[in-house]
Amino acid sequence: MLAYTLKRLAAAVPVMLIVAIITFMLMHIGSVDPASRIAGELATPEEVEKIRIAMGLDRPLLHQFVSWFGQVLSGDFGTSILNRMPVLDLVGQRIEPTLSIALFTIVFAVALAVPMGVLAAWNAGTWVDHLIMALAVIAFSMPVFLVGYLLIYQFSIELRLLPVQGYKPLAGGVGPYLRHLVLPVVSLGLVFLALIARMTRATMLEVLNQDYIRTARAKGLGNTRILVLHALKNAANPIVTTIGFGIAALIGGVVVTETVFAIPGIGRLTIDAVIRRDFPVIQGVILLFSAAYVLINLAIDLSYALFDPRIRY
Amino acid sequence: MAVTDTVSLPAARSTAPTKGRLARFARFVRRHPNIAIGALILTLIVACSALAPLIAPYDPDAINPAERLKPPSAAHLFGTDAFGRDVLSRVIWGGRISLVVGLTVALFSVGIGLAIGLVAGFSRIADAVLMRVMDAMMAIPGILLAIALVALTTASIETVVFALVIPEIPRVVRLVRAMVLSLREQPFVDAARAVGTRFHMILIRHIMPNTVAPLIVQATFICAFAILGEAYLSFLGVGLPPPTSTWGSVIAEGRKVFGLAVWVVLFPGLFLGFTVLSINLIGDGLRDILDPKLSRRQ
Amino acid sequence: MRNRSFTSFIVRSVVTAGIGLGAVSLAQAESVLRFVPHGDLVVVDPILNIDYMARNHGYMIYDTLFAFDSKNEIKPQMIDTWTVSEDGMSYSFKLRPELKWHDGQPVRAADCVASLERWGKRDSMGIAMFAAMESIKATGEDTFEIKLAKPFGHVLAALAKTGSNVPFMMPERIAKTDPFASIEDSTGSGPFYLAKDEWMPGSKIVYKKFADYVPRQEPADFMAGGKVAKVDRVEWTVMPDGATAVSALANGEVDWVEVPPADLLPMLEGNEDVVIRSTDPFGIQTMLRFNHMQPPFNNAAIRKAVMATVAQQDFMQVTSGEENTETCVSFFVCGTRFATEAGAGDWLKAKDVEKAKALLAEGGYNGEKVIVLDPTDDTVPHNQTIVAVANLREIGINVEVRATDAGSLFALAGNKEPESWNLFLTWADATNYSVPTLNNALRAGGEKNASVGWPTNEKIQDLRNQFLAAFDPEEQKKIAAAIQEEAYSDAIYVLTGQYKQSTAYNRQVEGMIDSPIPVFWNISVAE
Repeated sequence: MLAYTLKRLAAAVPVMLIVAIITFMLMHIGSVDPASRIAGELATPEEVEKIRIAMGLDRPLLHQFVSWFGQVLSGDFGTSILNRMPVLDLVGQRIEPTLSIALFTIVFAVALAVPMGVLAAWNAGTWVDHLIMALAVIAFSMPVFLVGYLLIYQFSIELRLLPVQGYKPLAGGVGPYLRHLVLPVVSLGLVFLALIARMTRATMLEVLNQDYIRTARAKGLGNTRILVLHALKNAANPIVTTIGFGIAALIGGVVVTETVFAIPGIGRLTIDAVIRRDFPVIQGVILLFSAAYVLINLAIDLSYALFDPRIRY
Repeated sequence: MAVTDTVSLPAARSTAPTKGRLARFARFVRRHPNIAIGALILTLIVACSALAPLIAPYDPDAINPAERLKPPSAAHLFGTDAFGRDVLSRVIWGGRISLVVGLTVALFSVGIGLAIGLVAGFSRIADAVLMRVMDAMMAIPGILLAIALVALTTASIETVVFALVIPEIPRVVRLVRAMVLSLREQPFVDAARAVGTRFHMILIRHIMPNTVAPLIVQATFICAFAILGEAYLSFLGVGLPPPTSTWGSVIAEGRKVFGLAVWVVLFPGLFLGFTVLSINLIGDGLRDILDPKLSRRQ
Repeated sequence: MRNRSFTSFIVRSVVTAGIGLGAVSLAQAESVLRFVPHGDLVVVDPILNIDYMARNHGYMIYDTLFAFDSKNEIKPQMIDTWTVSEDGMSYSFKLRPELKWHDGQPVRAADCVASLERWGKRDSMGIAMFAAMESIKATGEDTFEIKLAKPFGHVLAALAKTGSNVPFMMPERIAKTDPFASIEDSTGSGPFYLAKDEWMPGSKIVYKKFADYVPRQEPADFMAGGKVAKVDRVEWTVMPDGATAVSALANGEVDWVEVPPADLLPMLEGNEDVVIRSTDPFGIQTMLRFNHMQPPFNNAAIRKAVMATVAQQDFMQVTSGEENTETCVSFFVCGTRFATEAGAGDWLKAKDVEKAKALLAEGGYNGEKVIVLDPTDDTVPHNQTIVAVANLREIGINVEVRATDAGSLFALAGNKEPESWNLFLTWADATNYSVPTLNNALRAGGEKNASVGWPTNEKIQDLRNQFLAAFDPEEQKKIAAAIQEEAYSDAIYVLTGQYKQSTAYNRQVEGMIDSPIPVFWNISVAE
């Protein structure tokens, strides 16, 4: 297990290096440079050039890359060229909303999707199955922002039940914290709900046809016991895989959700940085997101052993 | 299937061709209702967009400040936006770009992914390098990569398509590579090699045809995702520049007046949702037909 | 053992949470004003950056030597007394006693001299003033003097100016920062200070009352008078989406939205808790600017063809959302002292497609592509861009629109190369455009001495120089009218209108100063 973990971690190193190179290259295809942005309307080219030199943007690319990557390795992700705050501080300020949305979205989606998928599989071919699967494909196809705006319209503007926007940190009380999370989580969660429900159904169908389930039935075990003890346990792995696979999509969704609900998360941080060409921030955030993605998928691979005693690393 | 039918039942063809075709069609619809529903919706939407110059009641970009933010009425079925433009006309015209983006992204992703996947599947050295790059590309969240690509260049149809293609490529490459690796070991490939068939002929004759079915399924999902992706880019303010109407940009424009004029967001949103839905339905149906392992479960 | 440490962890957590809750309830006891600004504070240096957000941030945490009052008269702010020599060539100033920086150090004359020197390298008026100057130096702890080498009639006006870049005073150590690099330390001497540990760029900026600020005795009047902070804490929450901001105000989640989108005001009109009014006594001017260096707009006839398509009514409808809107044909802001109709004639009253086409033909337009920059996140210019593009297409101009964001607009527009841009729409508040020498868009010294668009017009440049040297108000007005006439006949840029931006706030907010700049002194929030 340890050896396998180390091997996987080692394999992640070249991947992260390539991510770093891709990210760095991205920054140099742009048509606007940050120096002229800061200089503003009245600046002469000479003034812009002076600002560019002060910001270190005049050095050769390779030089910039090596010095940046060296700092990253020593844990320094650089400083925003606009507000002069360390990238890690900026990320630290905003990690809580993003993590909260992501975690609650996964919990919400799994809590509803797994029973739905099981129900559909158990009633395969009947109207229950068709209804659940139809709902799933619809939820899967609806743009996140459309769902978000319709929810705001209904629950915030018409009914005034929930806040329109924003985020309240957990430290300020559980009530406001949860109230601000409901709509973002539901609007983002529908897509995952659909994805996981479909996967659960497919896996369960396969498991339910296995011999040992028939044996269990023959032994006279109740339906619930069969579902929970035998079938679901065996269906856990593909479901977990789907969740891991969905992390990338989740991150994309978070960007949109944070915009709809004006939540100060990492998604907004990235969009703002991209629009303003704040290179250190874009590079840092993409690198961190990618590292999170790699680590989460590693964790998921390792978790297989947890659900399936046949798998040993 | 059609071929077997005509061969085995020549008499039926001569007696009642129309009836037979109809019956077959009806049977197909019964067996694959999702494809039928999906195809119906998609055909309607594509037809609307294709015939935009004929059926759109107004010029989609013609402004009319006196008629601003009017709710749906007989004159403007979907109402008007903040510039007095007819939302129905903008939705009909907007479909053109959204659909073209979806289709182009699907074609390019599959084409480029197929080429890279074949190389990776056949060359050990290239494989090692290419797959590391693909892993890295997979690790970068697709929407962020696309946002960065569009925002840092100048937004145009080409850059939007490019930005949406790049994050899709690694998934196609992985699929193709996995298929090639398993096909390589199949007896018919060994047999072809044994009789001295040239390498590229094996590739063209034996390997590529076998990858087509899963790729078609993949392409439909990419197409659906790209249509959504274009909308997300426009929504986040890095999509195609404004007067151009795409569903995404009509929604992005409409959300500013959302609290007052819900129709400006709702109608393009529904068109977008139904298009993605129809393509997903077709994709699901195709997978059931083309992937025997999955269809057996039905 | 294990259990005990776990228990102690629980106990510690509960205690910490208790303290946390206590702190929260204490925090609620202090008065807070929750404000939604029009944009985000990207750069904290108001001398380096001319962005309005940087300027508004400047008025929070810095103070100025002089300031304008609501009658456009110049009043001392940090200055206690001053004298001007008979010939107007020598000024000496004395600071008010007991002025302190946020770090507790006293404000010294040397700090002010260093601040002015940095500003004099960035601001166009500052550059002009320093060019006319023989020397500036501190003559004591709280006194300094300025000696001119040649006549310059606007020394006090420059020190009091409200348009970017405002000469804000900073401690000497900060003012020594390279004027082309951003300052990192936000220590000022204004009525509020920046709570840097709570600043969340892109989302939230927090200011706290500076207890040691000594306000003037006079009542607050525009930027002059006593700047008394009446709330303990001001939170600026950045909301990229105007619709969200309006909904948040309607729901009581924020107190004041600086720029609610005009189209959404009806959402607030029925709400008894919300006040909607214009706090800007003059208004905002919107304009269409050309790239004079690249074809086709290097040709005056083609620029005039565009001007012929502009009916201000059309542009104002999508700007203020009202059926009947004011219009304004003066480049120097209607309602202020240099406003004039000189040279305007029939322009801007109605869209004249025939005239426009004739002018296009006269200018020999042969289908060159016109690239329009569209700041999509800035509602007013974005809406106007859509109207302008429809007009241009109507007279047969080949248009390509390039989307950008408000913050990048001027960076993109700074590009002089062919195929970069030809036209964009923008806005300016009265503080910047009401004085001929401040109106940047009318600087016409070509590539070297003009704002983006680089118009070249020697007559205007001569007139601007005459204006700089003129002391007599009537003489100044005459020169302003002459500049405007020339600006119309050469179509330097096209005024698409002037309107009053409404602001919306909670009824509990009291004492708001009428100004295009949102300032927070004198404001209190009723319980």
